[in-house]
Amino acid sequence: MDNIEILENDLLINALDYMNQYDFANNVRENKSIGLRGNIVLTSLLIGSSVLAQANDFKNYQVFDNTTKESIECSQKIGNEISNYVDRINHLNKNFNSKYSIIENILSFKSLNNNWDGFNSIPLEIKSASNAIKLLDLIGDDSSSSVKDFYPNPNGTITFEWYNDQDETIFLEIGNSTFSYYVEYNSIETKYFNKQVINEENSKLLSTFIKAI
Amino acid sequence: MKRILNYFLRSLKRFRRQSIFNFSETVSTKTLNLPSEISNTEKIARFVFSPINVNPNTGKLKSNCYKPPSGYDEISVNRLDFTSANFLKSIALKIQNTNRNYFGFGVINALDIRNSDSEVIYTPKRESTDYNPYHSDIKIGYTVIAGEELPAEISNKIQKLVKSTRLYKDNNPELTNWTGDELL
Repeated sequence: MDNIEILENDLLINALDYMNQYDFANNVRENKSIGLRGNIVLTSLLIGSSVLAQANDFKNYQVFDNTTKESIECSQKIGNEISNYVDRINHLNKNFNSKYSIIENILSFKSLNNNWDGFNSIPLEIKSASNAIKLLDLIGDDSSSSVKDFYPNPNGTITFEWYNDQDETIFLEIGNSTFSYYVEYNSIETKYFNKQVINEENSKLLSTFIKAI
Repeated sequence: MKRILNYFLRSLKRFRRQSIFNFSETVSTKTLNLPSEISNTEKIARFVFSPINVNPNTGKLKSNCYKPPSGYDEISVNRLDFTSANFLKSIALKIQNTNRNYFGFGVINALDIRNSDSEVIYTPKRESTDYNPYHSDIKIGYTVIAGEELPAEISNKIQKLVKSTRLYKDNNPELTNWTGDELL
């Protein structure tokens, strides 16, 4: 049975690595989530592995009932590993895409014209843009990718918003030198943080608030 | 010669009709009696442009809609009770461009502005090039500096204005008349 497990894991890893370039990327792009249930290739692989396991067990043990039981266990184990792998890929893809698109948008705000809102506004300032990218890095992928909205302001700064269904909010504005934000939870009084220097300590606190949303 | 004269007279009549229509459409006679004080019961309208003021995914109004430009502590609005959506739309269409498409209006009660610790004052524009007798300003009580973020307390105040605002989308922004729901 050990041989069978090793054989199947190797097969699985090779197959998944190969499929990753096609099916996962396409599914993420088209469906924005990867479902094991809906993936025909993965389902075929699972069926195939259980059939192979069943055939080898029959040869080794010659006891059909035991073979069937162990094959099912083997298939379940492989199935769990596939699920974990898929979750990991989903997580990586989500974070990578979100962060990439956020940075892309930040750069596009820099290229706005003067008076872009019709009321004497200026484009996003270079310092504010680079501070925003730096802060995104410091708060981590999970916090940055969960941002609900972000946009330039008429005075050259940039705003990021996190909120949930209960109307709890973290409202962050980043300027040329510092950042300011407020935290509005239903359970506590609104907290205000002004003129925060962009460093690891301040970013960590902000990230803690974001994760609690 | 007679035909040319008739054509000229017809054109003149058409021009006069259009002029009268435009005048009644753009400047109501009610402007003559506009009170200088804005009462708490008045409705105040702000132009909204897309995509800069509205999140295209959620349809939510962004707070930059109420943020003044640097060097100012105020943003332009209009006294909706004394004008029409058509007149306001005519101004919005003039100032839209390729980066900012006219989307519709945000409407907020004067009382809600004052309850958010801001003020709204009447500041009519009388210049012929920029004529708007309904023009007013919301004062947020803080002069914005270029490249410097607002104090979080001021951001919170602006966010309260956003939350009190009713967003109205114009279903046919390319037409000259307002085609959205009634502004309430």
